[in-house]
Amino acid sequence: MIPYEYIFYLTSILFVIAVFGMLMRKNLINFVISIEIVINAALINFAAGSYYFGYLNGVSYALLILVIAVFEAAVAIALIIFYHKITDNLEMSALKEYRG
Amino acid sequence: MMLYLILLPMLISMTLTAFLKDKLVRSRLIAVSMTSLSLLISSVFFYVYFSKDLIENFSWFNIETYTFQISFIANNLHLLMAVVVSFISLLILIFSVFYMRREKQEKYYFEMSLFIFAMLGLVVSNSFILFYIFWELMSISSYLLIGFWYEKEAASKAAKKALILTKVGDVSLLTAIIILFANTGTLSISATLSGLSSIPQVYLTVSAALFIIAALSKSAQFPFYVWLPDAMEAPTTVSALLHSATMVASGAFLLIMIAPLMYVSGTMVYLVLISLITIFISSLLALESVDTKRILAYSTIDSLAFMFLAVATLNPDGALFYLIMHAVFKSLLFLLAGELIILFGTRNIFKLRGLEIGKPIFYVPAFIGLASLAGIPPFLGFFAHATLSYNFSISIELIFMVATFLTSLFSFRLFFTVYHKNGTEKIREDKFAIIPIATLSILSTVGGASLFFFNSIIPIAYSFDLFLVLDSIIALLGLFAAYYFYSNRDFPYAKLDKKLKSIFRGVTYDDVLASTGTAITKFSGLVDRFEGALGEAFDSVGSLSFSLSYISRELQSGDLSNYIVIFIAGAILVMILMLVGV
Repeated sequence: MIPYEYIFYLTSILFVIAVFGMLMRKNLINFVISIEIVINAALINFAAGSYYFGYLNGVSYALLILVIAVFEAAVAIALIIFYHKITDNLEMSALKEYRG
Repeated sequence: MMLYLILLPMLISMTLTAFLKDKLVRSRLIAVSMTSLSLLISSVFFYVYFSKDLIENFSWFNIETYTFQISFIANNLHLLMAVVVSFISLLILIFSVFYMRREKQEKYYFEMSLFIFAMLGLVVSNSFILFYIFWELMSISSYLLIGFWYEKEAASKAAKKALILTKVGDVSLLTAIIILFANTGTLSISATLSGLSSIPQVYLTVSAALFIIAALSKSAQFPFYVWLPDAMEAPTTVSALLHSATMVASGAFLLIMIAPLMYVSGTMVYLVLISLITIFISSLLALESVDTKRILAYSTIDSLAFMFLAVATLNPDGALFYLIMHAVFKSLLFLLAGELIILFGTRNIFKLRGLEIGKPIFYVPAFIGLASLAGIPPFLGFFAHATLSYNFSISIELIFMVATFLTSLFSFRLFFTVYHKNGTEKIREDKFAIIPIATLSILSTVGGASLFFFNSIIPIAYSFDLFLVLDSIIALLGLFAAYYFYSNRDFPYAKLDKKLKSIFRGVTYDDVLASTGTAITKFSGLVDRFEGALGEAFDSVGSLSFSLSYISRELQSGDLSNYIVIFIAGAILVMILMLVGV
């Protein structure tokens, strides 16, 4: 059986990689992928916690997060597709001019 | 003991008519039947609680330890007013069926119900705060009703004028209530009036002065009277209600109700002065006006000044009697004016003269109403004068005789200009118009006799003395003078009118306002420099924040990755702070 610290090391590494991706990559698709990785890191944390400590709460939270992540990805990708259709561009820095 | 029942029918009527906008027949049925129910209930209460003094309290809400109460009062004064208000309202609503038949009137019955509701609430409430709420409700509903034909610019302007000028009174009423509350610790009107001796004199004077200002603005007296003639842009039924039993009467009712406070305050001499000024201004303006409704409006201002004069000469019960009598004959006069407007489509008295309205069904009620207004013996006004003038001193009596002459002159100027015995106009009568007018005419003829048993309802003093004989002779003189000046077609009445106009148009209210405005401007010139310095200080604060905003707006770059950096840096900062344990 894998000691649970290892799982937490894994998720921490995943999280750092994803944040690094968010900061460094300027492509919107990469950005969405990074966000997905952040969410999945958190999800694994919940699932692992639930497994090792014997509570079902973690798993139920994980399921909830899973569903939300799906919706979030769908919306984000839809936006990106329309953005690409209009501007023919996927650079994040080009969004600057919208002053969001 | 369910005094709130008096208010319930109008509340139901308000609610239902608000939802029945386009169902005209039903909403007028509801309004009329609910007002009759109101009349029935208040009459029953008047009968059951006759000569009892009952107060009914419901707790409303608490602030700290003080409980605000909804409080109603049942005694002869308040219940009699409730009966009068609902009776006059009922007749006017019946007349509305005739008057408003060609108008679009989705909101008419709702607004009328609100108006009547507010007045009924005002006369039975025994808590100053409740009184104030109904007082404001009346302001709002009169605003809505004066501006009923809001497409006309004059109407919407008149509505605004009425609202703003009466708002002065509303504010001063609230201030007076707060001053009294701070001194007595109670909002109950009856408790305040019975505990007057505990209030320092200066507060009594100030609050009485503020109450007087409130009453003056609501009743359209001297400094505030300009809103009332302009309010004639309203439908005539609204004017009838506004002038007889509700809006303007509420100011006089306020002073009658808190008369004990008035008499210990030492402000009465000013009230005498104001009412005398008002009497002369309004009757002279009525003499030069050529609009039936405006003449009636000035006559209302005149009559209310009579009431205030009676209050000021320590005779509130005389004022109350005059108020009730006035409600009867003034609503009669307005209904007649409304009938003429509907049938002939004009308010100008000289145009109406050209039409030669000759049927007795028109000129008999008009004569009754105007004779009541003037104080000619067998009619209402004569008896009202008998009790009104009971406490007058000799000098006031002399001035009052002049006022009677002027009142009589302008009343019969209206009569002899408009109505002709040998008229030829053929007119179709309508039963909804005839019933209220006939009722009010009969009341105006024989109702004066109620003075003799009014004493058992509310103690009232009256005397038929030499003054009253002289007064009625003078009123008759006014009648003859009006006949001489205005009845004969060939007589150049227009010349007299022009002369009067040149005298009294010389100084109009607008001129006074303008010169006051100039004085204020000059004074504010002095304040201006100080204000300029203040303005610069504020300007520098503004420009400082403007330049700061140049820096801060850079934060909102729109660059997503910048935001993420800031967000993550913030999150890390929070984590570090949590670890350190701040």
